[in-house]
Amino acid sequence: MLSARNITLTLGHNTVLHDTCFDAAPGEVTAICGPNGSGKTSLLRCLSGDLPHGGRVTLNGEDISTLEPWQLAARRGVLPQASQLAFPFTTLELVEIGLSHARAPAEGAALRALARTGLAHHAERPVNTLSGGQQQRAHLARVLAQVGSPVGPDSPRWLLLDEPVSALDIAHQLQVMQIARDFADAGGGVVAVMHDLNLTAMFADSVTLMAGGRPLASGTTADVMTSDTLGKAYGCTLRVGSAPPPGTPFVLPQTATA
Amino acid sequence: MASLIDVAPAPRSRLARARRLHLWLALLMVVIGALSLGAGATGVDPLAALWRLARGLPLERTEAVVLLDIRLPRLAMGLLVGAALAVSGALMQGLFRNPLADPGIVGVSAGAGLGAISAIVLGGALPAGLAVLAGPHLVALAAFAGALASTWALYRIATRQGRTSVSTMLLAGIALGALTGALSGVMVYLADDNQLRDLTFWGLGSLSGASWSRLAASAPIIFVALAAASTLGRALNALSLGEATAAHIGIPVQSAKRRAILCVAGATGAAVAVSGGIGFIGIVVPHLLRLASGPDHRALLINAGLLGATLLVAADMVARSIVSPSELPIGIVTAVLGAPVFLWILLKRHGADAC
Ligand SMILES: Nc1ncnc2c1ncn2[C@@H]1O[C@H](COP(=O)(O)OP(=O)(O)OP(=O)(O)O)[C@@H](O)[C@H]1O
Ligand SMILES: [Mg+2]
Repeated sequence: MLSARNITLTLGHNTVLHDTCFDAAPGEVTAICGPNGSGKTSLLRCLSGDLPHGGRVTLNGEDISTLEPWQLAARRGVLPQASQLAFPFTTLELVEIGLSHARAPAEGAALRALARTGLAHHAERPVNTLSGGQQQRAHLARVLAQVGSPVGPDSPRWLLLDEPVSALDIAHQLQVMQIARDFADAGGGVVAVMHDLNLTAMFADSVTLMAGGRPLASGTTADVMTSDTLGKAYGCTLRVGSAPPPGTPFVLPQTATA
Repeated sequence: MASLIDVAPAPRSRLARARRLHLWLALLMVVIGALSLGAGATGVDPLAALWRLARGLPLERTEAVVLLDIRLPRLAMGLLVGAALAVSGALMQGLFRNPLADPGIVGVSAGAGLGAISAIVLGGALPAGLAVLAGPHLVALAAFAGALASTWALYRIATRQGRTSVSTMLLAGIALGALTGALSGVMVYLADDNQLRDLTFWGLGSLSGASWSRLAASAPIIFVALAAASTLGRALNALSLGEATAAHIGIPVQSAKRRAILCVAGATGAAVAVSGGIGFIGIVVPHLLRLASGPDHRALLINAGLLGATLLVAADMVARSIVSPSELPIGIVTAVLGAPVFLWILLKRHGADAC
């Protein structure tokens, strides 16, 4: 389990998260949705142990504030909303930096992660010369290589992804969401901040809907993604429909009225 | 029809290339070092001296003095100072995630300089007991103290709740550099004629004051700093992704930054103490190496030490021979050689950014 209890976070003079609780289970994809500025990234940063905050975060039962950085790195990988790279490392070198914590990384782990995100042909190009979407996938490859297999020797491992598909074309959106799905199906845990509600409905098992720095609703995808709840969170009237054959919910932006 | 499986030829490793470069640079260092032993105003030939020794004859007096007491300590100091400056540059650039950062920029050199200048000007006014205690190491110790104090001040200013903000540190460094520069100016104003000549020569940078006793004060500090720096490669690689991501990857970011800062203070302070303001080595050397074999700090830090040492000894040969039998301050040579390279790098970067 990945659980956050009573998280309070203050940045500058803003209280960004108010007494927030959050749970994610291994074997599931848990989406965090909500409008801009609702605290999704802030919550994810608390879950990954970036920021000093009030409350407690436990990963597989261990309080993350008691774990050393390299212990955390072996248990979970974090894809930030935006990444920077100061020096002209190649794509392959970038992915290998992700393997820093491992004493003896598996042979070819970096190349496999690149192949998984469709970037093996760009292995030797400087990351800064890749397109925006390619760079996002390169950083995802770095995170996948760092985490390795979805289940460790005695506990599940975790992917914490902040808008992993925000810069991707539709085919690569599906590819990346499938990577997350497969990771969860193999026993790992995935927490993904998502803006695309249709992809969320297709791939997530449960959703936490943030609004104004607190969770407005959380539960299974079907429970949370209702016209009513979404309308309240995003501040506009939405009608949730269902695609005829598989019955997964979808949202038509055309149904919005200011 | 594109293949579904994304296969690519096995990539060549730049790290392996950079590791091979260790050997070539070490070889180059030995060659340049040997050449520098033969260069000088007195025309003493080290080969002839070796030949005498080989035949079991003792060295002539001038040979012994020139080779053992003048050229050898000067060579050793050139190697140590060059390595210290280049590695400090590479460390700062990694720490600040900016390829143009340098100990000169964040005020570390200025702090070391203030320490050294104060020691030169006020040294005579020390209580006799303390002066005897510090002895010939006074300038080195004061410079090291100055570097450490300015680095520590920077760190305190830029660090909140255990997190160092790089931009605050850069800006604070500029302010501190200006302040220590002004204080150094006051010291210069206080200096008498003799001290002034010392200061001018020292300020332009020179290896001409090399002696075994001066080396004894600085060499251990530089050795420890260089050895510690060579363990920071992985951490600096991760830091190029930003502090948050470096922590996600498993790097103990705060302790890595603290160690890097201590290494820079030690290496820069000790180097400035014995040689004054020698610029550009710290910026040019890591840049050239990144172009040659990539930015991986695990190899870069070692290569920077080797190439920095070689370059400074070569620059010293130029400084000694160009206006022989007199000599130019070496800081002038490194600036004349280094500034155009630096500008060329800037132009190239500009081109790369534009397209
Ligand atoms: N460093 C900061 N100092 C002060 N306020 C901040 C800081 N960072 C974020 N905030 C505020 O905290 C709130 C939550 O920000 P957060 O980045 O978590 O939003 P988000 O839900 O991820 O939004 P988006 O969808 O745009 O990524 C916002 O109101 C933002 O303005
Ligand atoms: Mg966000």
